[in-house]
Amino acid sequence: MFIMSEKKAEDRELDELLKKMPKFTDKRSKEEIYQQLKSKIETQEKFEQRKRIQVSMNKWLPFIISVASVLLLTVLVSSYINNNESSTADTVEESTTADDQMRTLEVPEESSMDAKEEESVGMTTMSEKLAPNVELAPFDRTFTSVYEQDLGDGTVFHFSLLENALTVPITIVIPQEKIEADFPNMEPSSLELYNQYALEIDETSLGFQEYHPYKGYFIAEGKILKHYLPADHGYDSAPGTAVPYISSINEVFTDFDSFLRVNEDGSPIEWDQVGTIDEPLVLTGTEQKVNYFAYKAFNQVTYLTPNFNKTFNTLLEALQGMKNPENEIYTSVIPNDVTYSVKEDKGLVVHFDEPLDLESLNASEASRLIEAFSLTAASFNQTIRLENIVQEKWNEVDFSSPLPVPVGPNGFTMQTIQ
Amino acid sequence: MNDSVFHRLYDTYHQDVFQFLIYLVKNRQTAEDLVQEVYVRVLRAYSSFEGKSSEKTWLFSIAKNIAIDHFRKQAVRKKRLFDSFDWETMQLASSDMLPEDLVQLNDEMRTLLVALDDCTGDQKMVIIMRYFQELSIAETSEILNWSEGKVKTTQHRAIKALRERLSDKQKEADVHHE
Repeated sequence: MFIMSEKKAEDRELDELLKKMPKFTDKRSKEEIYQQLKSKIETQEKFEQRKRIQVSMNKWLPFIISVASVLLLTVLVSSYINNNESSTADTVEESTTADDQMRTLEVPEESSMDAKEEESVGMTTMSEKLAPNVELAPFDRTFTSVYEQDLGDGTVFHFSLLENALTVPITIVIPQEKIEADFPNMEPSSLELYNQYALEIDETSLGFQEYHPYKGYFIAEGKILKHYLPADHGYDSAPGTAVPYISSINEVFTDFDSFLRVNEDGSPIEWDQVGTIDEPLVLTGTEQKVNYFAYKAFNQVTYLTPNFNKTFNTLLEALQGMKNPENEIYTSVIPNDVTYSVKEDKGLVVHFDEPLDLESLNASEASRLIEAFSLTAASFNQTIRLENIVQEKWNEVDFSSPLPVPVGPNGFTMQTIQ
Repeated sequence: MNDSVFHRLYDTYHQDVFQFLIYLVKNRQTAEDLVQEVYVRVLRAYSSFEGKSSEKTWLFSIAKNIAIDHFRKQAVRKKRLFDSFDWETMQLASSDMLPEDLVQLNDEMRTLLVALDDCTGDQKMVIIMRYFQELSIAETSEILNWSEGKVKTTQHRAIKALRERLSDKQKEADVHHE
């Protein structure tokens, strides 16, 4: 009896507790949610449209190629017969036997075999280009940047992912055998790498919108990259589209000095809010003079990235600015309670005011902190040292020496889908 | 995108759906992402909404499916087998809440949420729907596509499980004090 009433009392208390649990509300504005949603739906629709085009192209391609083969064959046969007829007339001999006729028919058959073979090779190449056959695998370790020793004989492909008005640079290592297969006997430029692989990168799965490939086409004129844009390119429709467009160009085409936007016919382009553009824009390559922050993409993966590509005159200023992103999009890699100063001692040294125990952070936070500093320094083509860290070494990084210099942030390896 | 549908759904249900998701996943950022996903699916499917259920239960059933997908993906990431994920029998345990959200909860409430994570997925879902969202038995049964009897039984078992877990935690706390 006593137990029963005790249980009832407990149930009543539990019932009351459950009923008075607080209300949690979404603090974002309706407008903010609407804009994010609109962008997400548009991105998905674009991606699906692209997939649909790829599927329908893959479906029709063999048919189109078969028709083209027949047409080609017809042209070859008729031109061969015409040639044969005129040479027969020249020899004056009018003894056209059945055997000769057989021979004239046999030759085009051989040509048709060749033509079919060539077309089937052509078909494979085109299908391969249309259907994505590569995927990007993140590095299976705590440090996410790419370092010289990661490359082996592979090739670095700098790429840029976009979400709303911001860009995030990533660094793709393409294995040697893939480069040899796709670019026999040559070292591809950033433009050739872009033209070959941009369409195949699944940006959505990396947590970003489907943005690439760019509209129009590019032509390299020495160290100047020219972008031939169609009338409806839309890259200048708002600052929110123009800025990430230019940032991404800067992040992708790292081996060009400058870049010029032109109309499709090569004439100077009229850019909204700017006017006629007739001077090329300087590209900074890998020396972007930025500092790095953490950014969480919509797939919940955290990337290290410049803060809206804000540049600094000196590495000192860039390092000092790493505590405060001045917006809510990015997060500082330095914990709130950690402070530091920057001093000069055979190069710049970041000195933490209190001994920094990396073990007090989780492994990803600790590696992001180290790599954001090294990436910031690398973007000025310099090295830095971190000082006053409890651990002398952490994950093979020796703090008595300058930090290892990354080739680029956010590393992936390109893998071929079998 | 159908703007008027979005505005109406937002005005009528947004905070309810958000609260449902945040109690399930216990992470504000994740709840924000999931509620966005709810809109994407709802707006895409709105033209095919036949009105067989109420708009409210339809919206919640989509939110529930999206949340379960989220837990399933987490399980897959933790290398559990995709096929073996049965949300009703497994736990829908989530990460710790953000400090800014935690301040709204007293010790008793925090213990309750931890105990709720220890319950099975079906029990956690029913408690959130019935108590935190104040959905009726009929609405809950429609969202979960269960019979009303199953909702009542699950709720009964959930309360029993919660009571036992809270009492165990109380005993643990008492031992600590001694």
